[in-house]
Amino acid sequence: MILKLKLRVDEVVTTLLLNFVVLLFTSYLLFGPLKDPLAMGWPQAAPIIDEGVLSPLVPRMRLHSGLIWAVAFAIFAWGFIRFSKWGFQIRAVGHNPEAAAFAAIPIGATVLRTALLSGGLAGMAGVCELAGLKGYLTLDISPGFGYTGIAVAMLAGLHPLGVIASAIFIAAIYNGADAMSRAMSISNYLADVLTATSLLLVLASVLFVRFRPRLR
Amino acid sequence: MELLDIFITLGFWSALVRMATPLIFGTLGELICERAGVLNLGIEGIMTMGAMVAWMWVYQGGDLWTAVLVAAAAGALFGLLHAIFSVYLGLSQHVTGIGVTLLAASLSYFAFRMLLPDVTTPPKIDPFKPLAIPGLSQIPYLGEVLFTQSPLTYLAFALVPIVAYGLYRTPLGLAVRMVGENPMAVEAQGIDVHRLRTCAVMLGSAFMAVGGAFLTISVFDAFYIGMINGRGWICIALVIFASWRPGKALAGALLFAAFEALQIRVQQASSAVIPYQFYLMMPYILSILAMIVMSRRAAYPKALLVPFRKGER
Repeated sequence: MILKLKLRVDEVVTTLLLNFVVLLFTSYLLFGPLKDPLAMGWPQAAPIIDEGVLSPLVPRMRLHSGLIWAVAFAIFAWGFIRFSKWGFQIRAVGHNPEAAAFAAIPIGATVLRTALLSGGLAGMAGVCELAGLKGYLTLDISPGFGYTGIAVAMLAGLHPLGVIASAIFIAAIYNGADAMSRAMSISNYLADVLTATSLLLVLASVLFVRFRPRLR
Repeated sequence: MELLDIFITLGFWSALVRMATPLIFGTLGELICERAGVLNLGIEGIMTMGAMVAWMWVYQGGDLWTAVLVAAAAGALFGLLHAIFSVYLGLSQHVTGIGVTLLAASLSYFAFRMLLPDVTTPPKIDPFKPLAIPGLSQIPYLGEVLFTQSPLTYLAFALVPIVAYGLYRTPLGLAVRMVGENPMAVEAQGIDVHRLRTCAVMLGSAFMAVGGAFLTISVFDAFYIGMINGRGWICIALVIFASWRPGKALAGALLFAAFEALQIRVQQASSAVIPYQFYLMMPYILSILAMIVMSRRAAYPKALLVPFRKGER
């Protein structure tokens, strides 16, 4: 869909709008063809087969082997971006598209490739939630995790290995907020507030680190 | 033919005008921001914030019109936040905008939940009553559709020529347009680029917030989670569709509202032929298509997305 780039449509707005389209399509699938007849009217799909379930890491805990996969992917992504030819092209296009074009790097192909890769990884996140945690598909499988992902990436300073740390940090905020909402009836939207605040503050701090303005 | 019946009913046309209102507010607001060279992706969150704040103001015993002002002030505040990051600090307008949206939306949900901890059904307020304009509302058909609407709808329609006049016929409007095309020229004129952009973003954000407020204190009488439902993003698409012109923005908003109103009625009329989710998808798909079609010959503001740094060439 990022092919829209060729038509000079703002890709961010397109994806934001597509979010709703895809969500509604999932909703259609859940109410229609994929609906579990045993779910007593709830819009959820039938549980996936047992072989598809990611095995739990610690017995009787919700922690599952998806975590290992995620960490492995983070390390792989780091190696990919750091050492491979494609990774170099991605970095070059991101830093200075004109210089990249001058070095005969196909910008359109690189951008498209990156978009496909990142879409694939985001899809993996969905699979992890589904196969590791829930076991069946519901509409609220992602409570805004996509947007949280932006915050995680920015917190990590756009570094794949940093993502591991920042993801754990954000996850701690979310779990803490859930615990707080159970214990003290403080709405767990607080977690989103904190995530958004940290996103904006990290954005600002990057600038301060890079330019070191002196305050008199 | 069922489809024709829908077009004949007065309900359809007056629903069209009603549904266009938040889109007009949002689109005009975004248009002002983008004309000044700042893409404001905070629109979705700012509309949510406006909706929540205005509703809460009335719920706590406030007046309806002050609620509109309070919503506008809240919107301007988040506009200021966006401007500090994207104008003064020159950070990515995309990421900042999404950050503002996340913050404003989650903050309004959080405040809503904290101020009303234990309610199961959303509490209600007395919203704006339709205001029939004496004389004009007596015109058959037209009177009911155009002149028996909420006062905020009249305000939205009135704002279109006002914004157009302001942008094209006043020195301030010229400066705003120029700052979106060539900020360096503005700087050369001795005008503060950063301040001008900030003011434009704040004004635009105030418009967006009023658009959100319209939903809670005029159409519906309650606030609920996720009620903006992508209207902000549609407004951004509408700005592109309107090629950054207020008059075309009005036309675009009316067209989209017509589609929305039609969609609901067709959905009710022809049950179970096509799953309802596909009808709901239509506005989003339509806005993407509209962007593709229009962006080919779009004369977008040259300095859109480009941060201005003093002394940089």
